[in-house]
Amino acid sequence: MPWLARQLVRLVVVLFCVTLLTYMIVNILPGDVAIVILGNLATPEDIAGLRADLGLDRPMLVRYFDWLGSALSGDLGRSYRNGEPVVQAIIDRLPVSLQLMVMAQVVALGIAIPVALLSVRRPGGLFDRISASAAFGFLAMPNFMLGIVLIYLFSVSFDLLPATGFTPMSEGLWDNLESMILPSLTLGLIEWTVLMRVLRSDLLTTLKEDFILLARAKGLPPWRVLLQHALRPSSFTLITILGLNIGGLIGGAVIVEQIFALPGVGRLLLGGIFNRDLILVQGTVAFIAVGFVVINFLVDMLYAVLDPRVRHVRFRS
Amino acid sequence: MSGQPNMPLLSVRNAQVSFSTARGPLRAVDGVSFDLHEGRTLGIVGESGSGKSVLVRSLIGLVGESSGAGVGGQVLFEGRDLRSLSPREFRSVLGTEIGIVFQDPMTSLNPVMKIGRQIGEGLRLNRGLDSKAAARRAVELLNEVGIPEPERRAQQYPHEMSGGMRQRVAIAIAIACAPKLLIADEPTTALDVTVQRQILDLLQGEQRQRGMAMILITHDLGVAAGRSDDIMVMYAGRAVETAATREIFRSPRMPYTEALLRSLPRLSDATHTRLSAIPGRPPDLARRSGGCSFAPRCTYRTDHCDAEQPPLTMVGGRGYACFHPRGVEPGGAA
Repeated sequence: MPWLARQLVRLVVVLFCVTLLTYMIVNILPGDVAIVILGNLATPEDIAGLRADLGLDRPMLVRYFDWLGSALSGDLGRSYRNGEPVVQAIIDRLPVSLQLMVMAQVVALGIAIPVALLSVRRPGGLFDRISASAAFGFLAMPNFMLGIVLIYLFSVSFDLLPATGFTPMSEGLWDNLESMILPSLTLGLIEWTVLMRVLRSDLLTTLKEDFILLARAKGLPPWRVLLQHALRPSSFTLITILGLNIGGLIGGAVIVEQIFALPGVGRLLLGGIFNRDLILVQGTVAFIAVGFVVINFLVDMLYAVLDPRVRHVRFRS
Repeated sequence: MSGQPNMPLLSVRNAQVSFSTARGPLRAVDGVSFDLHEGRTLGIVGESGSGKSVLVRSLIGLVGESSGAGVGGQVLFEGRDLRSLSPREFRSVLGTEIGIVFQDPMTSLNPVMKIGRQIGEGLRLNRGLDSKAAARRAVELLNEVGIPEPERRAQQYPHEMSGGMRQRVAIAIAIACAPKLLIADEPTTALDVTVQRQILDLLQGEQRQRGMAMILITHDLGVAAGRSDDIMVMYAGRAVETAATREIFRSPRMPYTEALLRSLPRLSDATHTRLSAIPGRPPDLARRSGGCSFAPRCTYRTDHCDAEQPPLTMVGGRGYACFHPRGVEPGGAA
């Protein structure tokens, strides 16, 4: 099967499994959206009436395929709780999560690539050892903890940045960036560690190759050998991990959005779960799954851009 | 001609390379000296592990501190001591005066960079060409090394070419900056037999046309035979015999060289003649004995050989490290 067709089949299978599983799991959760809406004092008749209005009295699989049908035409339904179209709710929150995702990757790559390049210049040297220790330190730290430390440092102690809240870009670029710096750092300061370690180890492998010796024999200075010859062939694991990270963050960072009170997709999902707003949860999860698969599809395409040999193989198959 | 007419282009004195291993220091190259004059070819011959590649790579700084090796001795290139140059000066000598072709063209070309750019890279860096001029020159060089459709090939990646073509590309890279010295490190070992000869002819043709000196490293005396002026045979990190190529083939002094020659197939042999192999294996370099490294495999071995390491003796322009040289009357005179 051609490569592209394989990818599409994979997308369909993943989406079907993910949405069906979510549907089942949310249904198993104790609690009922009708009770959440009407409150604890509602009579059983009122609750039954509302459930019938919302269509919740029908069997689960019927409801699932009903939902799937509209989802395929782009309609993810309306929130049980406030009647807002789920698609609109996601579109409203998405820019916040996307901005957080992009800024976190910039932070992570901005630290990981230079640190990896500097540490392979002298493996086992002072810089390599210090950066390895720093990486394991950050990796071991849970992100809610790091978030609180950063708030304490930058907001409480030095009063440089706002502790929580979000300012949209329409109210000024700088204000917007200010409100996103700490959340991005919280994610990026943890993520760079893994990126740095895989890039470092791939670089060390590449640096043993004969074509690196040849580059040195051409008289290229060490930094040009690293940047022009070693970096690109060493970046495949990095790209894979980056794809997984970005895919994971496309649905927002639930905990970090919660700590910093950012109105992103992650908080939307969390609110949906607390309110037993099944259809909102379902729509958000489906969106996150599509995002994840699409991002990883794009990463696969990126391999071909980075490595002409992959292009060659795909073109022929 | 530069400098005095008799000054060698490359002069190596007492070259040493050692690696520290878990079992203690390993002397991969132990006190090798040689001279190479402009336009001449030196064949360095030895089994794998004899230190020939490590020796040459250490001379041009590709094996050194960065790879955990200790190097010693003196390397003079056109009278300049390479080991005393600053890294920047050294890179400039390396980029402009010395070209190298590695054994395996599958791994010696960057898989993700277009051929033309890999050839032009050195020209831009060392000769100050702009990218357009470097690209033009790269196409000319591809043409020179015998690659058809050079314009199209320059835009391709290494994996789109055969092994022989890639080795031609590697040669184009090596000669791009018009070096005075070309190092060919087993340039045909990884290639199909049918293209080996073409590559050797190409190397020799380029060398003659450009008047370069060449170091041809090979494990195959037959390869070195027709293509080098002088031969240095290495065994266990030491030079054990040096002589003009004709002399080596006519009358080898060192029993090891003699054994190597006997292991070459000859057309004059009757069909189904068994090739004679050298019994035993090369020594473990981390556990050197006090005597001759070849003694355990040598048919002429005596107690003297086990007790003392024979020095490289120079007699009449040729040298050998043996207490029982072949073709020499006992007493010293040839």
